[in-house]
Amino acid sequence: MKKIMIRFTLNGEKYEREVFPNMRVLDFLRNEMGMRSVKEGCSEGECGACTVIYNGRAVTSCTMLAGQIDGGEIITLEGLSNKGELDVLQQSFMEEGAVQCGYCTPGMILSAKALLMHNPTPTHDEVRRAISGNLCRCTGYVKIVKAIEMASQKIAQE
Amino acid sequence: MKEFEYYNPKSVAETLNILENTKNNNRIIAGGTDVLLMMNDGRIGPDHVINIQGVGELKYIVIEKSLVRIGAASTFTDVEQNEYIKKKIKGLYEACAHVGSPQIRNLGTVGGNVINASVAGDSISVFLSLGANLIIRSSKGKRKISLREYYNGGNQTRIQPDELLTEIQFKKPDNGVANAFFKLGKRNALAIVDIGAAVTICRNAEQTCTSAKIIGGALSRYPLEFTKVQEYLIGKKINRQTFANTYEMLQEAVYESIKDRPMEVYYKQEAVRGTFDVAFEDILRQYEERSDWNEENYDSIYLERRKV
Repeated sequence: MKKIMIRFTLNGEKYEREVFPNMRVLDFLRNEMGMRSVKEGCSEGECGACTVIYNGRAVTSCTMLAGQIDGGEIITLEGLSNKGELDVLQQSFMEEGAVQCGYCTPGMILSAKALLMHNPTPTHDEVRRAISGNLCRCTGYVKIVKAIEMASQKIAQE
Repeated sequence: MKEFEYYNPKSVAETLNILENTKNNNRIIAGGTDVLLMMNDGRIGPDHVINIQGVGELKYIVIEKSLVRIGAASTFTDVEQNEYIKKKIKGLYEACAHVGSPQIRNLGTVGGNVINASVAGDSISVFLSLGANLIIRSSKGKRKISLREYYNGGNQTRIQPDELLTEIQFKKPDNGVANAFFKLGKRNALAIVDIGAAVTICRNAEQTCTSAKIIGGALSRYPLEFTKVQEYLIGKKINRQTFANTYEMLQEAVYESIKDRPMEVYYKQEAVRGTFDVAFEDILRQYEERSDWNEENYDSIYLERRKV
């Protein structure tokens, strides 16, 4: 099997890597790029734990081959904090108590981030719709939705 | 995952060339959300995987004078965000907006949905109700086939290893046409369809039905066409009572289709009424709102050809 060369931007930095094409983006990000925030849940795109942002859109990295990110831009949770300073979303999740076991959290935050990137003032329903692909077994979603709404309000005030 | 050679063409011509050279055992991925899962659990094991996500030529939604043309690599999000489809072809909008989750909609394509032809495919029921045709190309040429014939015609009508689905097209609905879709599922999102009700009605100035396509997804191997209901509706006034008169016919057809599936038939033959009821109500509501529709605003709307 021939290796392929992929060129991509990850959390703002440009990279060039040679990979075997039968590697999933999930495994590539975790094992080759050290992005441990990307979690494996169901392995079939049904839980959203592996969500990353690809070219501005939330996608499930377990349903993508490494070659699919060639020429693209990826954002993982690691890319949200800037020199130790937390993103507004991360701050809100903490303040609102929207994290219990934390396993769904990276995917949740990135789905929310993708929403706010396109729609900085979402309605309550739009927030719920944006995280409809991210399952949480702990929280019951209420505080997660509240955290995202708080974050969007804080961003609007700045 | 089994090993394979990977290709990343940037044009249709390049893709057709690769398909021709790898036709012994190849697979196309446009978003990959179906194919990858099948490769992961060993259901399929292609030697060659061709990613057409980067073929900008296949990502478009074009509204022409009498035709709507959708590039096969258009994602469900692309369709969901198209203003014309959202307003004028509501059934297609509803089907694409309710596939899986936002993440799956950002990756999955209508072309993939059609070719994968899962029993649970949502957009395929609507495309059938719109009388869609497929444009399929190979290095040898081009063929056009109706979606109905593609599914019902047996192996010889299906996509061959050297072929590429490039476009799904259907007649542009005029003011007399209303299209609706409702998906019955266990959840509001991330739900596999239990019944997908796709309805396209054409009515004349006297509010009489001149044609009807009533299609049910997840009721048979390929979406079920309720021919008796369609025949009944023609010549009838489009109103609640007319639709209510079709319930028994819907139930009978569902029973005939899945009577050998005891885990499904008792539920689905009841649920089919309520499911189609939602779609029928949508049709009625669309007709009621028609008086202020301005046709000119929505001619010739193009989606930018995206370069991924």
